[in-house]
Amino acid sequence: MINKIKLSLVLLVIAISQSNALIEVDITRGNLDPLPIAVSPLSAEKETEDNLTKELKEENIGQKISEVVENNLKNSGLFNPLNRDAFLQKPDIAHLKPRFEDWSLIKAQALITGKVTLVNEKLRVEFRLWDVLAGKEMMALAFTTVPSNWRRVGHIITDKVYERLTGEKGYFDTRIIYVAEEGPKTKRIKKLAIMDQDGSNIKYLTLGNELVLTPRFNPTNQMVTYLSYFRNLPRVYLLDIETGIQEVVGDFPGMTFAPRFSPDGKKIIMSFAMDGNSDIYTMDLENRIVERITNHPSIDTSPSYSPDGKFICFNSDRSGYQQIYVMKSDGTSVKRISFGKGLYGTPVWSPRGDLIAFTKLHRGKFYIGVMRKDGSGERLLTENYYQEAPSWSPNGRVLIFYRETKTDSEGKGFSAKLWSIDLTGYNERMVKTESDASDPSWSSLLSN
Amino acid sequence: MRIKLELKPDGTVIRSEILDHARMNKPGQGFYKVLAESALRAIKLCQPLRVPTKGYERWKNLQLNFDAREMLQG
Repeated sequence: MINKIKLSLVLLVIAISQSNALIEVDITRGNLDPLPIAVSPLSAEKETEDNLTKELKEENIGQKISEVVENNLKNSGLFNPLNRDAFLQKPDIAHLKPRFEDWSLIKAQALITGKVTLVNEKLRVEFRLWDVLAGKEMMALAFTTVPSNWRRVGHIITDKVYERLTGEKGYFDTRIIYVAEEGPKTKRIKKLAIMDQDGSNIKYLTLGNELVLTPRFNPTNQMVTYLSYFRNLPRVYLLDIETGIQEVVGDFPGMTFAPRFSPDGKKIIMSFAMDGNSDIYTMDLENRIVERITNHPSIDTSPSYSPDGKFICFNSDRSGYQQIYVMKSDGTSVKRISFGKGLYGTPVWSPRGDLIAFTKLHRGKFYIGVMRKDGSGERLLTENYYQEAPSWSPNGRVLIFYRETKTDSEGKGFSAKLWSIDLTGYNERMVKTESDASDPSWSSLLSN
Repeated sequence: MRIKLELKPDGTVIRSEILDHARMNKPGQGFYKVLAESALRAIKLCQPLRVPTKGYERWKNLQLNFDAREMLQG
């Protein structure tokens, strides 16, 4: 978002321009300040308010929805939601016709207003997005859902506003699956957990009896594939989130790990290790046919498909050190793409298809970075003592990963937390979770 | 993206017009529309523009060419 473009350069250009033709000024830079936005609480009539409070045991749902929106916008790093105490106009009146002077007085450039009503026991939410400086409506939408879905309504509103103001799809009506961790480092209990992208609505999917690692969603977000230990043997599992039914993937005479779904959700790609060698395999979930994709005496692991399903990136130590490779999805045309100093791992293809995110270890430091699919343009976004396993937001704009802290000499101080960072390397922030957390994986958009 | 401005002698904007305005509402040009709106907001925020005291006739009509390539680089 361009904000205040330095138009003072206009002066300079005009001063040196001698021609009588129309003066043209080229502007190639802008300030990337977060856009000041006012999120007016969604208004509700007294009767609606009372009925919603009775049903949901929550007061002021309109305001709470707008808080969800505000929090999302703030966390994106692209918006600066203004303090509600400064708002001059009442929510119900602002929704009908904002007094733009009042909103521009508090420096708002965009304004969100809205209204909630109860229609046949359904929650109906309408909202409008206004361009304060142009003095006009940019978008108006309404939708109806069950009242208990009110937080999702906030996320959907944010997605619409984000898309309208940035030109990119949002990533707010999404969930994150991760490994929740408890207990001392030597005796960790690890459970699969799922939560909304903003950390709300946490649910635990396994009990913690077995160690679990690397959960990944399928494209419809109904299934999860992950690694679990059973009788000390690590194996790839499949879990139906709704029913809780789990099953082992394939009948491999050894350990399987690092699973992911293919973009069409029909296959699982994973590593299978036997006699000290690991190669990449796929298993078709319909007919259970297993196919070997790599065949090399080195360790090939962490496969991830390109969004069109035509290519796979993975890491391999076939050159002597762990590096990132790309091949066609049938295993042919293998090409090394990482050539920088250090070790590269956990490559994951961006949903936009242009970039591959990775973890890099160099001189005892861990980095999260991105490179183009041909390996060019490597950019390291963040450096830390220990961090790994990036996962993309569905719009390819944000990465979530986990970071561990060092244990002190008494064995204390260890923690594992989820963090997110913008593709530009800005807006690094911790994602709140109830317990320690690792191995996050971002779902696709739940709606639309 | 090109915006044509008409200015008052004190640098306030009388009129702003997006020149490639047809492109704004074409499908697949979402970014263009966002950039145009953002540029218009920036112009409104910046006014009055700091303008020379002399030569009003020469600069009262001004064209701004916005190039987002550098701005969008990560």
